[in-house]
Amino acid sequence: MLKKIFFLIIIITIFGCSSTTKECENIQINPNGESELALVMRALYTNTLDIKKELFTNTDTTITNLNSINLEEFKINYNALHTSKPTDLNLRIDGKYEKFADTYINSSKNFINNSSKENYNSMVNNCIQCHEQFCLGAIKKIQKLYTK
Amino acid sequence: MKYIIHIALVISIISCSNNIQEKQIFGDQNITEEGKVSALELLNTLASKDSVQVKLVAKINSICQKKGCWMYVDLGDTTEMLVRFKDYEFFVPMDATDKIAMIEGMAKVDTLSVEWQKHLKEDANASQEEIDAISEPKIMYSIAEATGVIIY
Repeated sequence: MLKKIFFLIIIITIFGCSSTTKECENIQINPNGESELALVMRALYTNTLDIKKELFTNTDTTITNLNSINLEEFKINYNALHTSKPTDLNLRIDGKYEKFADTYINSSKNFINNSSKENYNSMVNNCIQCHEQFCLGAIKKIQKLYTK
Repeated sequence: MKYIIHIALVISIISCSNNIQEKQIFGDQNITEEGKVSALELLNTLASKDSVQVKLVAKINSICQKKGCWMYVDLGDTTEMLVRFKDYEFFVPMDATDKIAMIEGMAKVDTLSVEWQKHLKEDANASQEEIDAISEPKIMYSIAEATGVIIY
């Protein structure tokens, strides 16, 4: 009986260890964890892309009858730029970020009041100007939001 | 006999746990290792071409310590390559320095602006002196829009 168990262990060891590579999929964007502010900004990107796709490709669509996005969600997201916890906890110390956030939020409100292409691009531009100061990495992606 | 079985069990557990090599995939989950090249092979190719689509295998020298959004990999002889990730759609673990990675993307010789160099230094928690010392654009190898990364 003991001999059988011994040989069983040997066989399990040989076959069990023959598979030496374990693949792990990382579907999440950031394996280090995303901050609240990063998530808000990703949500704003998706909101803006939805608005662009719908508003500027369908002539019957207006800012108040969009199907793909609830405008209230967009407003909640841009207001959360002032309250969400950032990746870099020093971001809010000197008030510089808050000024850029205010400029972006005002241009978003302006766009909601008058949804022209000019006001839309101005909103995207204000988003990029803030990123030029604080986080260059996302700029290439945000530039894709501009409309012609 | 009982002792032999106990020893065999312990050896079996230890050898198996040491043998498993974890391979983590970031970005394109369909990335394959077929056609991967070494840093030396890449440098030879870039000696006669402006850019090349590659699957580069190299050691990670450093990683953005704010959120893992860029990394420098070793090309040998104190040469490094800056790797960033396409559309900010994925990042890598901040504790993966010194691990081996395979990066897929378009490799080229790039010009890194002063603003970008300062930003990278800030992300790497460099001193203000180091950041202020940057005054010239830098020519360097880069993969600006990697589509997938495997870390071994």
